[in-house]
Amino acid sequence: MKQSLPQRIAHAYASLIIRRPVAVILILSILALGSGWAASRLTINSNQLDLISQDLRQVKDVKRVVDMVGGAGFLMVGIRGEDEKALKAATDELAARISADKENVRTLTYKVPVEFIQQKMVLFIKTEDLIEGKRRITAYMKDQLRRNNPFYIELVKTEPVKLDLTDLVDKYRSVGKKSIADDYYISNDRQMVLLLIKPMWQGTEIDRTKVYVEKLRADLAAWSQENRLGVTLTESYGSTSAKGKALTYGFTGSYKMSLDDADSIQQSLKPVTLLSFGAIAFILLLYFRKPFAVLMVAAGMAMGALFTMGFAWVTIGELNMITSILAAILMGLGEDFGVHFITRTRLELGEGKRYDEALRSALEHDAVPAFISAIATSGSFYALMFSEFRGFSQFGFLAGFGILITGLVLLSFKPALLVLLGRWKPELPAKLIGVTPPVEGMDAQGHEKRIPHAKAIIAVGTALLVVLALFAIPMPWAPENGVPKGQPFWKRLGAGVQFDYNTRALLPDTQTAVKMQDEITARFDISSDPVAIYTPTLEEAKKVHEVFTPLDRERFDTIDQVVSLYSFVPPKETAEANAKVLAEWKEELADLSQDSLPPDLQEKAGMFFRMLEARPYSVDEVPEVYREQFTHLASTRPENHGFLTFVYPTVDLWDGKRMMDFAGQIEDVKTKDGAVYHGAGLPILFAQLAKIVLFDARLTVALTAVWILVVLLLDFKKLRYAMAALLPLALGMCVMMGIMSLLDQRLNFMNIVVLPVVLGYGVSHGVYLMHRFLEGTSPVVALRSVGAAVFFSTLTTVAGFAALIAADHNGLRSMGLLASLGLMTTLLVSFTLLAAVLQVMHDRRTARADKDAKAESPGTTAAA
Amino acid sequence: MVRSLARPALLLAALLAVPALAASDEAVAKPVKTVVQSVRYGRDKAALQHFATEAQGAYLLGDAWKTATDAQRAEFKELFKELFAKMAFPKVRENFKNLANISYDAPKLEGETASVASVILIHHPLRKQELKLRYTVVKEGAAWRVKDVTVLGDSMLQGIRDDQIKTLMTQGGWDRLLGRMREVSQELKSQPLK
Repeated sequence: MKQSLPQRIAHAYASLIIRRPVAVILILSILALGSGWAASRLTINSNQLDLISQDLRQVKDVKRVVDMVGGAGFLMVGIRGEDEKALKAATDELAARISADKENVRTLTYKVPVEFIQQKMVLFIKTEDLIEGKRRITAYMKDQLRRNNPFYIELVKTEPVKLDLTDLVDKYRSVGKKSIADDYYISNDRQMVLLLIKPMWQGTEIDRTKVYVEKLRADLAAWSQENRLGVTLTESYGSTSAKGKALTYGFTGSYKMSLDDADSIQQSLKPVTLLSFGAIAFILLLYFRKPFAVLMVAAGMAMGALFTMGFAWVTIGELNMITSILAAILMGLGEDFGVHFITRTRLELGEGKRYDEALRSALEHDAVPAFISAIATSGSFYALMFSEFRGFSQFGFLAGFGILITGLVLLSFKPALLVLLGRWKPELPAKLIGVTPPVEGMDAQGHEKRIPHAKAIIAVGTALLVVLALFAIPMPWAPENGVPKGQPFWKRLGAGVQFDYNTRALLPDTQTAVKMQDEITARFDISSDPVAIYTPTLEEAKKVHEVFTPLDRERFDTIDQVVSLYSFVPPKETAEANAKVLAEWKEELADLSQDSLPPDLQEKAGMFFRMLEARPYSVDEVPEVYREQFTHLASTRPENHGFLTFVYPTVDLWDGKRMMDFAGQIEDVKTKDGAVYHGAGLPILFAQLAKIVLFDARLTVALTAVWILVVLLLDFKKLRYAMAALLPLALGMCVMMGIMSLLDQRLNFMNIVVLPVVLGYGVSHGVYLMHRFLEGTSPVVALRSVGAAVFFSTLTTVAGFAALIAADHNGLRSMGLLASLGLMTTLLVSFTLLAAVLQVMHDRRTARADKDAKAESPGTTAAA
Repeated sequence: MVRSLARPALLLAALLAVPALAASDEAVAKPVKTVVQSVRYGRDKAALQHFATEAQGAYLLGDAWKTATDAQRAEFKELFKELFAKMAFPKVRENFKNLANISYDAPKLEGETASVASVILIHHPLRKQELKLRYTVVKEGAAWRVKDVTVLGDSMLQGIRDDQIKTLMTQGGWDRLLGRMREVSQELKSQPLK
């Protein structure tokens, strides 16, 4: 029978390996040495900003803000204590100590003089509130003066007039997110002070933040031992304040959040990796029952991963946060090639062939499906290269080539080694890797073994799987915004598989920076780090300020407050009206002077009399200490000189959907004269990233599906074979989604990247089974020979992913669950529905062959 | 000749009037100073003698004073003096503990009423207080007596009237007012009038 091109190539390849094993091993060894050297030079770039296309406007905007103020966000240290005096004294000392570290600390803010604002506050408040305040204060003062008058007598006891301005004060407690009651950034309960550190680098440079946080910890511990205040300071993330001179502190802020996020993944992966390797080794040993076979597969996997790391150094030069886990993924997927090859070799040896014949045959038969499988899998990774997110595109590039490299290594290293061993002792390969006797295709009565009730299995199986798959589809009656997590089953019915936008749910529950942020939000009643809008001139800053003043809460429902330099300048009409009220008030109190008041009222009265002097002022009169928060640093490049307006969100930015809504409202700000200005900051970047991930996930899944279909069509040439091979994958994925919906598991920003991996790997089941089937074997023989390898190699891959379920990191856990579910459902469909379909196809094939045989021998027919 | 005599006569009259005026100022200011000094040194009864209780009663009660019986007015005046001395004078003495200086401006006369401004400088332990007072003095018969004192713009009598007297009169008229004053007097019984 004429061989196809792939078969001829497989034959030539097998001949090469069998004839030249020494050369193959030598070449691989040299390449391994070179790759090892190259891999040792690989670095991990932990700057998340570098993962996004630098040409994106959003990235350029953030870089400009970083240049203007030294970085987006802060490293925050929150210090707690019940004794306010001790707390402030300690904070003063710590601030001086931390600020002295010029190598690491660009600026440190922990207090801002508020006297200017306190005195001018009367010009900001609504005139009706000022009049009401005046009424209350006048009544109180009059009563106090009367009671302090030594000549005042009471025949009937009267209650003193109480001065309660709480409702008015609360309305105007802060300006620009800073309380005006105190210079310090102190919480409402007076038990926590914040230090806002702006390091010398960006928040995306995680390694530097890590080193600095450790240094800071050591510094704070040293200060705790040696300070002259007699105060102790310990790191703690409970929300209760320590008593007396025992202070506690915690880290948070965007710098720490980024660090914790990256760390949590690495910390979660450490124990998981060991578990994963252990599980894989155990399963392989269970399958092969030959340690040498396990070692060979493991060595091949490691070599493939090493070659890929070397390739990474040559092509890209570094790894990023996502490609850093490439080696683990490649090993998990790559062992597939090793398992199938050894399985096939054992079967060939079981037919009594000599080691070299068995190896040649195994290579010839295994290489093509392995190649097709590798092409399909690597293609699914290459689809990620279309992503704007470099984390995905680089991962796709490296993983795609990594699969091909690993496949090539495993299908060259193992057979070459076995040939060498066989040349030394011919019986050694069989002894080392084991032998599998041929699968008996006939039963005791001499009939071909069959998949029983194939058509019934197809009918029932299809119906069952379709029902399961239907749970994945949102029904018309499903709520528009989906069903919240944790709802009972009957409420979730019809909602389909949902996407969880809550990025916080991906984090470990114990992440300290998040706990600290929650505490600060509760104590200070403030929201997250703001987004900044850049304007080159002050005039433009005013126009931007006017867009949000007054804040249209319907149009900008995600915005809490907008703060600019103009937040410190009272509106003209209000200031003038209030100045008039103050002037009248001053006139009414002409006879009253601070000195004439009783001693206990004199101190309070001082601020009051200064407040009466407040008069309208312009932006040019705002003190420098406030001004500098909104302008560039001296070191800023000239093209980035200008002013910033800060926009604080009212929404929880952990909610990806709301974060995207916030970004949508602030990304393009149009002023009255039609000019457009752009918000810049990490929320904008992350929103853009979220959009990219969501779009790319759909794109890559679609591209992968098309690619797989094309590859299978090219391979099998007949549509029915391609569709059969595709069956486990297609139905398996649908069932996976359905089961996810039933179990209230959701897609999220992390596990969505696993989908192309599952697609690419899941196709291998059908490819191997179809190829074995198309060799002419019955479905039972195909299942029992190749099926075992499919089962155990899938099991090892599942073990690798399932180990992630033990991770602390919820995002990793969801990846493990999704991948495990997807692989198991495709496996289930392979051994049920596909097997039954193959049986039906086999029956037709057999019937056709019988018919053809009868048609070719008419003599026999005439004789019959 | 008449014209030529007019100027010297006027000058003489002015010169002669100065001592008279000075004597008049002193007559007006004297009760104020006496009250202040008497209270300061604990001579309450002496201080009370210079109180214009009739004028005070008329101010405090308004129309009710006119319709009151002689007995009611008499009792009110006595009780008011007693209670005022026992409740207010100790507070005044407390303020005077840190007294640094008292100064008086020249009185301003308006017919039968005059006002005397005074500044009391008190050196409290941590702060200084400069108390500005204005005494209202009225002529009762031949003598000037102290009717009211305004401290930091707040009139003593107005305060007592608005916060205390009016409330009691509204509650039960003279019976209520005098009854309450007797109760307070009883409560302060142990405190002697110096």
